[in-house]
Amino acid sequence: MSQATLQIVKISGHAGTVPGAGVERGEQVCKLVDTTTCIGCKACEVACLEWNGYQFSDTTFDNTYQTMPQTAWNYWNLIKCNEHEREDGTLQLLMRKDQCMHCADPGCLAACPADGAIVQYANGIVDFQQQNCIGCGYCVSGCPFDIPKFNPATKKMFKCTLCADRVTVGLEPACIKACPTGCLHFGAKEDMKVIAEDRAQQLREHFDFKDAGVYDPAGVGGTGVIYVLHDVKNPEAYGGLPRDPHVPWVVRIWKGPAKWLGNLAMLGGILGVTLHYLRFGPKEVGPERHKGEQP
Amino acid sequence: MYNRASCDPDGKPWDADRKQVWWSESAQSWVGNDVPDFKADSPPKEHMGPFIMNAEGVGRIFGPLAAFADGPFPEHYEPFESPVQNPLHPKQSNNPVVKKLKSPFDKLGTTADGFDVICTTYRLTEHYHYWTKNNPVNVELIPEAFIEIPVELADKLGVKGGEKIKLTSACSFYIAKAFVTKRIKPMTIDGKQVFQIGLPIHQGYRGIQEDRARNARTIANRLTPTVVDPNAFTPEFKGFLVKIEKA
Repeated sequence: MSQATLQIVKISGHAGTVPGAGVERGEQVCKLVDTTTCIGCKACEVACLEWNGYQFSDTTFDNTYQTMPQTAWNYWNLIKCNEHEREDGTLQLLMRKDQCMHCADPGCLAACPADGAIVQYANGIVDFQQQNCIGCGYCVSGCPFDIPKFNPATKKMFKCTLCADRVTVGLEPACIKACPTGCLHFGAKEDMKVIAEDRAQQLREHFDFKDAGVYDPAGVGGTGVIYVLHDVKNPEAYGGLPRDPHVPWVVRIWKGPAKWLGNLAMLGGILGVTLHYLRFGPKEVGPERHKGEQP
Repeated sequence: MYNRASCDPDGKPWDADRKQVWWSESAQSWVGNDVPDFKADSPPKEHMGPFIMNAEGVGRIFGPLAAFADGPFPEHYEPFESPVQNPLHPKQSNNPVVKKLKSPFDKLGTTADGFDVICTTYRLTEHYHYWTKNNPVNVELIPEAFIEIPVELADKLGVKGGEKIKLTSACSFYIAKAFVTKRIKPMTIDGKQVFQIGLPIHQGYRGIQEDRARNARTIANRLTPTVVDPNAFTPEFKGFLVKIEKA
């Protein structure tokens, strides 16, 4: 995939233009997760593990149905389970499929200093290219969803690829295929938004979910994974989904003005040294020697 | 539905577009797109009915009284281990025609003996019966045995989520980690606070975690009473009484 540059629109740490960007103008792909119809069977977790070829790892019971506290470098898809007490005293067991959101404006890609370690394809998928990854972990500081994870053995970063390998050859992602309730949908972003809005309207009008809505945060330019939530005003209840995610301002300044200021400072330094040399000449070493030194 | 029922009494399919089986005069046998689920060489004139499990060969709207051990009307009975008498008819609280076993293990607990917590067993969506304890990924999803208990009961016992608790029934005992949850609420029955707890079956005996000695070998159904429904022969594993304590 990394060589398919005609399908790439953004490259991390890359000087100059992206070769071939704009040649492919396909639809943006999107996963729709309807949290209201998830039954927590974790078939998507199993499908993700098996398609990507990761093996069993040890887990520990931690007073929850959740498999592990966070996604891991070899566990990209996690159902986050939360018992949530509503204001009217009723209880909800909220279950949200946590994975890479495939932001239109990816913070990981902005933060990444390694040329070509993170790319964004024309269909919207944000993908890590491990052969170019230097394992610095800056992508973690750029991600508002805490998704990239470090493999200490290979010193590379990993995350959900939105099954770029499957999608390229016309297959839906593995998690979508495995879902038994149809709470997971996959298709063009525009179509998924229509389905999601219809479902949210149904929840508002025919169920007791007055604040049902669609989570497609504008702060990161919209996402390639969108949620239907029972209560879109309280996304934090779904295992810490940020209300208004942004690429951190530190990353923005660091990769924007600070980078240019830094370059200017460096140029200024070289210029200063050159001028100093021209004005004062080279530094001469005196003939005197320290005590005890041999001539 | 039995596929003989897709034909009229003469052995001709009711719907010519969706044929399953039919009588072939030349072959003197039932033939078709499906395997006949009855005697294949019985000609239609013998009037062998499609409902082969009933003596009369046809379906029943009302079952004859002789076919059931109890009935014919719907009835509510309390489980044999219940904290209350049946409010409908306290003198006959539970089903008089159930099958009870009489071995030394088949003892029933009562609230008077201190078995005051209602326990129910179930499976989880991650599992297929007991089989998946030999599948690594299913074991990763739910790594250890647990017992779901209400927050109020956990506070009373002084137990936190993840700490081990011990259940004791009239039959046996079972130890697993506590899953303290708000999903099971305490009930008020007859003016008394009664706790219900949930016990998923799956772990125990032998499996990946059991063979690595991470999970105990005891199974959930050591606790349950073997009281068998007289018609469906389903054991009464969904409602029984236990004592609960810190392990």
